[in-house]
Amino acid sequence: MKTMKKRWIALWTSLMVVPLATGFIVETNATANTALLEIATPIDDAALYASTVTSSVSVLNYGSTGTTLQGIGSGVVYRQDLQGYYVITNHHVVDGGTSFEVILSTKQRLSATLLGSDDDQDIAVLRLSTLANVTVATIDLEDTLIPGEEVFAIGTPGEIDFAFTLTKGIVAGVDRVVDLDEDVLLHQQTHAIQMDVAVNPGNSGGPLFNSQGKLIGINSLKLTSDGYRPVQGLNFALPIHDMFLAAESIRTRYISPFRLGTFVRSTLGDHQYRSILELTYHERYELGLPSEIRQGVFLQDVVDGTNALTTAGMKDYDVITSWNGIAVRDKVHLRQLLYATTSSTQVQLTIRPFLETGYGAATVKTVTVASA
Amino acid sequence: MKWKKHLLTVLIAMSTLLVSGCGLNEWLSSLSFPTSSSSGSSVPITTTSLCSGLPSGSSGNTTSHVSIATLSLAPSSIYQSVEPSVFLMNACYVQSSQEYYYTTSGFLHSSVDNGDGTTTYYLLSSASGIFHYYQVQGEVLSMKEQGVFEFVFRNGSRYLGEYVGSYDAFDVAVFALTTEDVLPLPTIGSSDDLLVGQAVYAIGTPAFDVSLINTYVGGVVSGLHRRQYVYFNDTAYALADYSVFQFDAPINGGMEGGAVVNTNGEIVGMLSYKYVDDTSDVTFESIAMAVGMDDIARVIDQIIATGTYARPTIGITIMDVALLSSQDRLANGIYASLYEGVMVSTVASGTAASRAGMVAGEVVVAFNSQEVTNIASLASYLVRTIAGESITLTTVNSLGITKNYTVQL
Repeated sequence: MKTMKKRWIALWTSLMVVPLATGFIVETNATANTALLEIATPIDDAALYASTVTSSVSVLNYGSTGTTLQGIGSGVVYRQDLQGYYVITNHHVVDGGTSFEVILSTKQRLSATLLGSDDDQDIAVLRLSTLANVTVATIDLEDTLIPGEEVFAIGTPGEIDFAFTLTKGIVAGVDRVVDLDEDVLLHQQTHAIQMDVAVNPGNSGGPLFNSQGKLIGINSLKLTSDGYRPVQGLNFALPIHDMFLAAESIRTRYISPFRLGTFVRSTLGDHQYRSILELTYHERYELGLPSEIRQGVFLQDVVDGTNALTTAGMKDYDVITSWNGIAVRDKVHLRQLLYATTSSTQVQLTIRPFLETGYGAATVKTVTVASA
Repeated sequence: MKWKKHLLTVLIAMSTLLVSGCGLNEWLSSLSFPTSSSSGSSVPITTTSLCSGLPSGSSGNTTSHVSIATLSLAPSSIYQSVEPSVFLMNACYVQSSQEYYYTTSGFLHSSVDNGDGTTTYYLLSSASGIFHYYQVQGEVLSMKEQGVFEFVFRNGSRYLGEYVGSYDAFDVAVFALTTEDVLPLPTIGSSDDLLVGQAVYAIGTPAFDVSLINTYVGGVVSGLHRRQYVYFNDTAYALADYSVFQFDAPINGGMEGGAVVNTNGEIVGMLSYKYVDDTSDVTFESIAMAVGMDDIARVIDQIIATGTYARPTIGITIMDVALLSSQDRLANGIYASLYEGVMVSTVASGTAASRAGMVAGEVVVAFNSQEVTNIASLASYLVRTIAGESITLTTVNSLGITKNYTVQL
């Protein structure tokens, strides 16, 4: 299926948010913008930029020697406490580096301490001194994004001269699955917001804001080829919901530069997870998948041995259709539900088991979530 | 295990011409159409601006036409109302026990109640990519008999359907599926009143990837009455006999057949192609083209009834006056102050044009008193007629004398 090699590039430019407020601001009661036939309202982009650029930063990676500039990325300040300001950026922005600097929107340069990073989630957390002249970005953890919503990015594409570049566009798709490798393990799936906002190498790690100026994602990836020819405008940000969870895991587990923080995530076991939507007509035909199964997650290459799913008696070609009564849309939805569940918790998975005679009736399995 | 092995052998068929975009070289060469003089000189890229879609300056009307912007729907509302009608199409065939897939986009158009609890839905997609895909190693497969067409909606519902017919010059292919389910038909709008500068949005699936199903992008109308070259394989193309509109949203391969929507949430066009340049590092960006729904509306009933559309013809070969070099203008005796219009290169005997007494060398400037500025505008008037109808062509000869011909198509 994955014979076509697409060309992904990570956006090797980081953008940081430099908020001035103390503590992180999380708004959980965001008004849902789901009303049908809403009339377009003009947005004051300049005012939005002015209020958000102060939470954005450029991230400079001085490599393994700590003296030579190896790369530039972007970042965003997401929290403040007595120890300083915390910046989210991408793992690939800090990768290979031992010494880091940030540039604030005031042009001030500060050294930054790496608290930890996670390759699969492509996140890193840096800490700045309390003296940084920044603001803390307002975070919108509510997943209310709809395609068509206007969003804007701030970042440092290409070089320092272009720091705090503003680009704007619309959400082109939500809850996208980006396969960076041909591996389809759940924790290696990238759960992404698709957008047509122009982002370029150097925008990596930088913030994506909605039209209320709330941080909704971290610009991380673009697709540059469909396997045959170059593509344009296929850009992706990692949702702030996932990044915030990972950032807080890293921050709270940081002990010292020799014991960095890590992203501790829940797991069901290493299988191939495929969204039902991905299966082709022929695959469905060969499986005898009933037509009423339109959404859910299909299991493949279930390893022998013990893990959460095999212990519960699940096997190849079974389909997970719901999680504690919530219909599972696809594999990134399953991942989101899983990561919101702490390890050792028991969950009820509704599955359609694959039997010799075809797919069986819906069955509930009790699965104990493990930690990876 | 059999299933797993099978899975690994599923290939995605390659098509080097997924979107019928033309490379810069092909495009430039296609600008110098069959001319009587073989100048063949390369045409500067700036000539692309010749059909701006704005009213011709020759009308002498310098008063600008100010229209008050009407209230527009929020882009997210537009998406929510139209997106359920847009699908991803997997066109499949089996060869040497391998399945090949071509993934493209399309949208529901209309339906017929069969009276037995089922409804037949007609669906539109772009024809050129699919045609190309069914030409396998020199063999042309029958889309009706060998094609399997699966329509996948973003909510996960999927249906099998069949190929009904197509009209190559509009790049439109019609499919049908019959189901007991109620599918959401979109509101179809008018493309004839589009204005340059108005916001439009496109929905389709880029990069041939189901995980990007129904991607939503936006832009503005960049131009109207564009020429279209519809490619059916690497060498053959047809000059579409209508006008398309250009817009600046980021479109990619796989989105062809997708819906182009105005700010009222009405589908006004079908995505057809974008400009690309495979020969240079400098790529074209955001030159996307769509076929207007008004044009498609004129032909779709006949496609459903007969499998294609028989277009009315005049019987002349033509060239755009605006594309002629100074030497070509002299050689063809173009009237000095005439810079727009369509030059008649030849008049075929036994055709409507020869019966009407038309002669080569004159320039067509009006069609039923409507101004003709280029081939696309002439073609877009012609497509609004039916065979057998009489029309009036106004021409200007080398002395500047105007003449009217009544031509029965």
